[in-house]
Amino acid sequence: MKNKHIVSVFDSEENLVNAIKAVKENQINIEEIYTPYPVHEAIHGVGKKSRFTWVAFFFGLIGAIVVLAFLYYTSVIDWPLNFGGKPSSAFPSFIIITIVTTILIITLGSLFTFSVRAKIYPGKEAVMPDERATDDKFVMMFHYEDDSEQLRNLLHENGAEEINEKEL
Amino acid sequence: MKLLMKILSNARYSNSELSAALQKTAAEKPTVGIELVLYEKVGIGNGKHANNPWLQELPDPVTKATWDNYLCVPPAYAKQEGIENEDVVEIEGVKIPVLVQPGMADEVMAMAVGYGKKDSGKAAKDVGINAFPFIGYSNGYKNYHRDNISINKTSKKHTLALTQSHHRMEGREIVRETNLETFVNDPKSIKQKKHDTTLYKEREFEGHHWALVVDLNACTGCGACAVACQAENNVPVVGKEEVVKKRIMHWIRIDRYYKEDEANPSTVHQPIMCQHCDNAPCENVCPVAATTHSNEGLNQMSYNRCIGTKYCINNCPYKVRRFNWYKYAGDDKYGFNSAYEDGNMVLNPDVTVRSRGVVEKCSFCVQRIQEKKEQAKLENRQLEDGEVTPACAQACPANALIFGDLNDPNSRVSQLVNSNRNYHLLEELHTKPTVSYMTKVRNMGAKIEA
Amino acid sequence: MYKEAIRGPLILGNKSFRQISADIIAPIDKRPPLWWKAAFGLSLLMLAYGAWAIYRTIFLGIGTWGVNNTVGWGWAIINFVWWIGIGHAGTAFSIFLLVLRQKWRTSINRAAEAMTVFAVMAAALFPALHMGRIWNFFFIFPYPNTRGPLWVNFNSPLFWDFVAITAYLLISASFWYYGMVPDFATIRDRAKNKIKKAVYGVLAFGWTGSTREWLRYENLSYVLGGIAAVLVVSVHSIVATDFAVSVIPGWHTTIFPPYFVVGAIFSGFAMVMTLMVIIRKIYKFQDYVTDKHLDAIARILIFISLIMGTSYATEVFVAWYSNNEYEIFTFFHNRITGEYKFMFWAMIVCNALIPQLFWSKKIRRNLWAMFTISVIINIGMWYERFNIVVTSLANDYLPSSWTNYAPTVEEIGVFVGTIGLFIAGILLFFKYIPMMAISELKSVRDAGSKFKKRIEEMKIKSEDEL
Repeated sequence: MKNKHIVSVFDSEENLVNAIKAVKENQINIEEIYTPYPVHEAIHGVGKKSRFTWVAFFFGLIGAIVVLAFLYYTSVIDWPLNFGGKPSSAFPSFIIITIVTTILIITLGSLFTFSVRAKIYPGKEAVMPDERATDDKFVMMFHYEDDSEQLRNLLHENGAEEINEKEL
Repeated sequence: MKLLMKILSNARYSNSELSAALQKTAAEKPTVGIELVLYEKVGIGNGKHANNPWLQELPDPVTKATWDNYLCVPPAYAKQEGIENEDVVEIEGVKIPVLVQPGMADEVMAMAVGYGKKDSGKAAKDVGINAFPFIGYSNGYKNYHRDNISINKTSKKHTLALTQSHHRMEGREIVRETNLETFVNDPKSIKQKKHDTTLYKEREFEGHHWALVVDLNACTGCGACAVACQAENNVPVVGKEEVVKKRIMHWIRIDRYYKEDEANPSTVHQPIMCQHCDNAPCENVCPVAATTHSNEGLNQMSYNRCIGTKYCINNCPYKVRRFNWYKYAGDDKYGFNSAYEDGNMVLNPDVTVRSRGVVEKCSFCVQRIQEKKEQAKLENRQLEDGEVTPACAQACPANALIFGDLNDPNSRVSQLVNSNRNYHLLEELHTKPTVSYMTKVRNMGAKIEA
Repeated sequence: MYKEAIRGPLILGNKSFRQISADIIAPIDKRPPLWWKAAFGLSLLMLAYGAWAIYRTIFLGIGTWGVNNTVGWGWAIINFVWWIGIGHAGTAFSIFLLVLRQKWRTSINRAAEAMTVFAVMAAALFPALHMGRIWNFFFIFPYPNTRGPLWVNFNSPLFWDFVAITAYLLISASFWYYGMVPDFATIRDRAKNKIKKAVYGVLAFGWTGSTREWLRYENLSYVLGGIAAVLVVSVHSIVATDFAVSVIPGWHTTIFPPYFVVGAIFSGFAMVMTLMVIIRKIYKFQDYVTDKHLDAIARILIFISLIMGTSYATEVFVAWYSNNEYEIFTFFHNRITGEYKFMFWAMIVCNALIPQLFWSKKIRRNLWAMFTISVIINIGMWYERFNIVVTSLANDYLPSSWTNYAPTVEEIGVFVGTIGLFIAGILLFFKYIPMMAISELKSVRDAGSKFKKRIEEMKIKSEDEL
């Protein structure tokens, strides 16, 4: 199902940032912004937030508990063996393994979460409003419904090179 | 029978005939120049069993050489002539490698008989030089020595397979020795100081706690224990090339150290096998749990679990672990048993034959321990002291190896362990070995009353 | 916060974003040059030698190597530690410098991370190969089984190694790959060739550069950066415990975990310098890998070289101070003097002395000098691992076991094979993957001028207020 969008193209970060400020001041809704590198004003402008760091933390916490429990179970409860006279509940050894395995779990978990939330995964086809957004242009996209004379003026004032209509 | 009776009836002591015989032998002139002595090695003897690979691989008690004979040369002579170990020299047309032997008398050289066989079999073939042609005859007697020997240097070298290449203790307390006087007058002073602090709670051994004591006073270094162990535990023979690479498989080895002056050293022998440490450094580092500690004090080795990382070999401070570098068992190149038609009959069916890539070591003959335990259980009785004997202890002609249960206060081992002479090798590492040694007591310089 | 104005612009030549993309993607668009083909051919030869050596090792046995019952580990473990050390550069560059917000990392981190991935692949080969029964390698996984279930020995540093190296390989590879996704998108969108567009399209995972993606991308980078920083320190500390938990004199020392980590960063940065000199000279990337970049790496190398020198001195001092006869023998009679003194002094000269030449600005500006010194540093680090592994094992507690060690053609072959693997990997990286982080470079192009502008704005504001 294809929708229509208003696509404006800027050629510098400065212009884009000014345009975002102007658009926000006029309470116009920005649908999405495409940039060749992350621009913080853009991310704030579109209003995106992420609880990513919390997710990572929880992966870590649960991962650490699971790993420690596994180590304790196998070494102390299931089959305790005598290795060099050391006690079976070898906390120094357990903590080393826990640290590294937790890091691995956090990483794999974060990558998975990233793929899901950012919708970036093998086999995904890119839906690009303007292909130059990965090269040297900064692209701001609006819903078709938000189109207006005022919007187009604001964009032109702040340095928009082009304003197109696109169906995606 | 009749002839024998006739000889015996004519046998009569005759002083004159004795004097005549003595005069014949006394007619030998005193030795001139360097004397070559022919001797029989402990393992090979006169060569009758040269084709026995166990005996070929048995390190000579003094030189620690295997798979070869050589010309033993005194150190002063070697220095004077500029000859080193493994230099090939020519002696009356025969080429033979040299081994510099500390403690040899200045004007003597020695060569072992029993080598140089061509047709005795795979193990003996082309090993060493035949020394029998050097036997002299005089006045109807065979002389196992020759005098006025001269040797010529050649530019060749011949690698000798020695199992030990360093012969000094470097000031380390490895073989403890003491004077008879001290031992008699102040025995407590020779007791080893123990360092016994630990962070961890010590493990208890209920039931048996097997231990071995080695009496250094009794050990002569003969090597019977090494061969017995090889026979009992299917320890492979690896051949000369591998011994040169320091890969001999003997689970028990006898270290020989020289002390004091090279021209006249005193020699000590120390049998070393797996010390079955209660705080074993090897057990800690095996990633796959192939080596663990039993609840009877044995350091166990699970061959089928071992993946061959060799960390345990590195971490053992006593270096008693052995690795199967190639397929030693059942292989054409290394399998000496396969040289004989029924060669595999020499294997002990109670013990696994190890595969390539696996670590092995002394197991205190665990198969014998288990056998006796089962027997005692069937007979509904306790094991008695001395009932369980590992192969090395069984074979030792001097009773230098004593095996028993530390948890039995009446066992010989328990009493020896409490003696002042008892000490642990590398005690300060806190490996807590169950093998202990008895300080060698030598009668050094005490006056003998006439 | 980062005073860019002092250091100068990070990218020279006043490049537009389009120019930056074009410059970095150029090697991917062009046919491989002659030197590339020759080097690749050489690396294939080395791989062939390695393959033969590996075949002999696995099918005949570890007996084909020079190790024995006293020196159980030789070249295989030396090389394992050496490669892992080199591999730490990528992680240090991307991650430490990311966390410390050092923008000058942007032209170097991609190549450094690539280097990490190939170095860790090379390293991982050795623990596998040195096993006597490699076909039973899976015994090291603690998986439920019908043998008890028999678990593994969690106290063993070799198990910790297994977990750490696996984690490190997976994490470096994914951090490297996810960093490249925006750049693959750039190539995809610029590509005229249909096949290229399709291939890079698949590799780009559908990246569009939207804020939805960038927001989580940045979060991912900082999360991965933060925890992988812990990984850099812990992985090599774990490799160090391979030796530190042992009882052997020369191994049994608590200095090893920090000493190894610092040494790893040392050899890694040296290898990065080697690669960057090559990239700058051969691919003519002087505008991106500026004099200032190489200068910064050289300064770090001096600092770390001083730390290494201090570590060596500490080891020797503590051996003397302990009055332990085995420690004193190991350091004074078996390293400083004795049959291994060449290896010891080579290590001291190459690691602690020669890098001090970087104090001279002239040398920090001379490409040949930097290339040579960085290679010498890695040779010195190889000798350091030789010192640690072989000299301690060869002459340990009981003199009756003292013996020598020398590598065989098979052992050398495996090492040469891994060098071939590394070179082949790096060459393929140069040809098919953008060797610098295009999107990151674009973001720092104006970093200096942005800061300058802000200072000026602040000045104007304060003047107005006055």
